[in-house]
Amino acid sequence: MIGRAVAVATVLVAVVAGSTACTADGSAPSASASASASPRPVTADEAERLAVARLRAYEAHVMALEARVPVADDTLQLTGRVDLRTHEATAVVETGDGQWALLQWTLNGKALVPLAGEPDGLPAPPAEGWQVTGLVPDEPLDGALAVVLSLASDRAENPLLLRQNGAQFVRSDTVDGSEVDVFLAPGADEHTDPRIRYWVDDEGLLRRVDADTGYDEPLVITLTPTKDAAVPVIPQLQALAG
Amino acid sequence: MPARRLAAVVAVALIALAGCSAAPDPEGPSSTSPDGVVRVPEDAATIQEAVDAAAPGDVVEVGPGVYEESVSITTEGLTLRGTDRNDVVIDGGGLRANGVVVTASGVAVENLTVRDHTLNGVLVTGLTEEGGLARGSDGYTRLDPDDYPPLQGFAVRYVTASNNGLYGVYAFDTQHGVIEQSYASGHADSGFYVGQCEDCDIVVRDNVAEFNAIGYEQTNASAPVAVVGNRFTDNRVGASLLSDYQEAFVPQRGTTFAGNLVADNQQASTPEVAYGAFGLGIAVTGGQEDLLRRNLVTGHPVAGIQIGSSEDIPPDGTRVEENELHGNAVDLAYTASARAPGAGLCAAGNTLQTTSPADLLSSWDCTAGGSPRAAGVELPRPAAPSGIPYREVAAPPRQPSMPDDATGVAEAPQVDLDGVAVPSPELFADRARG
Repeated sequence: MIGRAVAVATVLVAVVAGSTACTADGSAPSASASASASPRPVTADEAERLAVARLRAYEAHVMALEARVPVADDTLQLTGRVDLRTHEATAVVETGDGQWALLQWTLNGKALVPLAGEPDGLPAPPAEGWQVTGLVPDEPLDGALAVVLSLASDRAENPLLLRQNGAQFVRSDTVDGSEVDVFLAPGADEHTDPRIRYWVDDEGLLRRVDADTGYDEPLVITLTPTKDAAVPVIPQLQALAG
Repeated sequence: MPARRLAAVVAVALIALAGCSAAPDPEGPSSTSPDGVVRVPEDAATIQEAVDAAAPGDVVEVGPGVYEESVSITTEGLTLRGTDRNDVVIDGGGLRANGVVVTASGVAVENLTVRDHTLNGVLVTGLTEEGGLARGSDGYTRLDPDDYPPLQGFAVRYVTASNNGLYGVYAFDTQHGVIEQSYASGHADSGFYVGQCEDCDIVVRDNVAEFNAIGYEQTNASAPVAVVGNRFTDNRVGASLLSDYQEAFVPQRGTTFAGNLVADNQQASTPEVAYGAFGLGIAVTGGQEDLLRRNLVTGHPVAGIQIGSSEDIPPDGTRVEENELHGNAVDLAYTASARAPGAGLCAAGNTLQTTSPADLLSSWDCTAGGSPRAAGVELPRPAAPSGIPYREVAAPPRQPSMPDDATGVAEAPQVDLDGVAVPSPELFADRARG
């Protein structure tokens, strides 16, 4: 079944769609690329790299995570680690006004505990003080958290259909010094969605996803290979059913 | 992490190799062997080198070994043949995209093993560019199939494909070909896949697909296609005939699916199906005028045969004749949606116990033009068990090599569809693990 090829796009489109009320005129926000960028159809090699991007993330298993998440009146900065196979993540959250918290999440819910100040790295989860809630897909933060956990896949996409249905190369760039290419991929409606961009390195590893969610700045998720282990989520969160 | 960096460099080098014809080794063969056979490793160090040196109509004969390369065949009429099906291995190492990519007409790939690629074991396609794979469409317009006419004539026979990330053997935008006597396991999508062709003239026969997400898948590939005498067992879904708007030539129609053993497709030690399907024997989803005939369909916890719609495409005119069905939660289920209710469906001469809806057969009369237009009933769908990554599916058992007197023609054979019988439950059991 080939429809799965657009799973991430589908999740992201849901986030984008849920946020468009934030635009003044209700129209789709313009793509955030520079005006000089001129997307063109992907080559066969590019299609194959785009096709394995989520598989490579799955193979990487645990990756360091940074995310900038625009929400109403603020932008949250997340720094942590994500287990892309078990769908569990832990990150330090900094708000725009300098408050700090530790956040853990799964596909079913999130747990938040305030921190006194900026921690030194990723702190061990405390035993108490957590606020555990379910994920609300329409909430911009929760939507972004769900997207983070959906960036890997245990298989490749179909590069022939990516090509046939309009995947595009936008431009070359770098992420943390690594050379990457930026792509638009076909979405659930079989057209590329200019609001979502995939940044893929020369090994085919997905390194960054940008999504215009209707705020002044895009949602930006950056993944970096790491040798560090994932942080286990607290039992209260594990117990949360879907 | 030196090891990882090394892997990166190797991967890049190999991806570069996979995308285009490798430059011939300057010390490689300078001309085709006089007998029309280029031998690896005697005449050329790599398979690609031998392929590049071969002339149209030549045979590239590959000796035992593990070949860590992707092979691109752009020469018409070439035959790529291993001397030993089990011991001639094209190994993707979990890095390379495809084992063999055929973009020229009249090519046969025979008697070898392709394993551990991120995409396909063997890909045969008319979607070409500069002799290799083609670019995509521009902007939001789909690539026009008229610009990429189907590849004409191919054969994949006595090939073992395992543990590839998409398909074991994949024919897309092709006509007049055959996939036969081959084996596929450990694929995250399907073991064998025929996609996007009209007037396909393709035969898929005498193959074994097991321990895949889906054994056999056919999307928007239409008459005539014959899927005959195969063993599709121990997958999550045995076979899927599908209409899908992601490919050209909607709807899928006019396939004869006959004499196949479709059994026990409820295997958890496989990759998951994208949308969670599990426990289905034969699924016709928006396919039209397909004929399911004299198959043995058994051991499915959801349904033996399920016929439904795909989006707004009704499953019109499909016939279910003289099949043997037992041991399924429902032997024959009709699930067409209210959005796309089907008509002209019929069933005759089947051995079965249960249908959904229960009175289905009363309106599926083959002598009276089949069923009136009507929706079906959805089936209960138990949650599918967790799967395993495609690379972790166990390796296949050794398979029989191609007999010396086997035909080497790269075209669709004539098949006596009337002579096809319901298969034994032991069909190709000696080639199967499950």
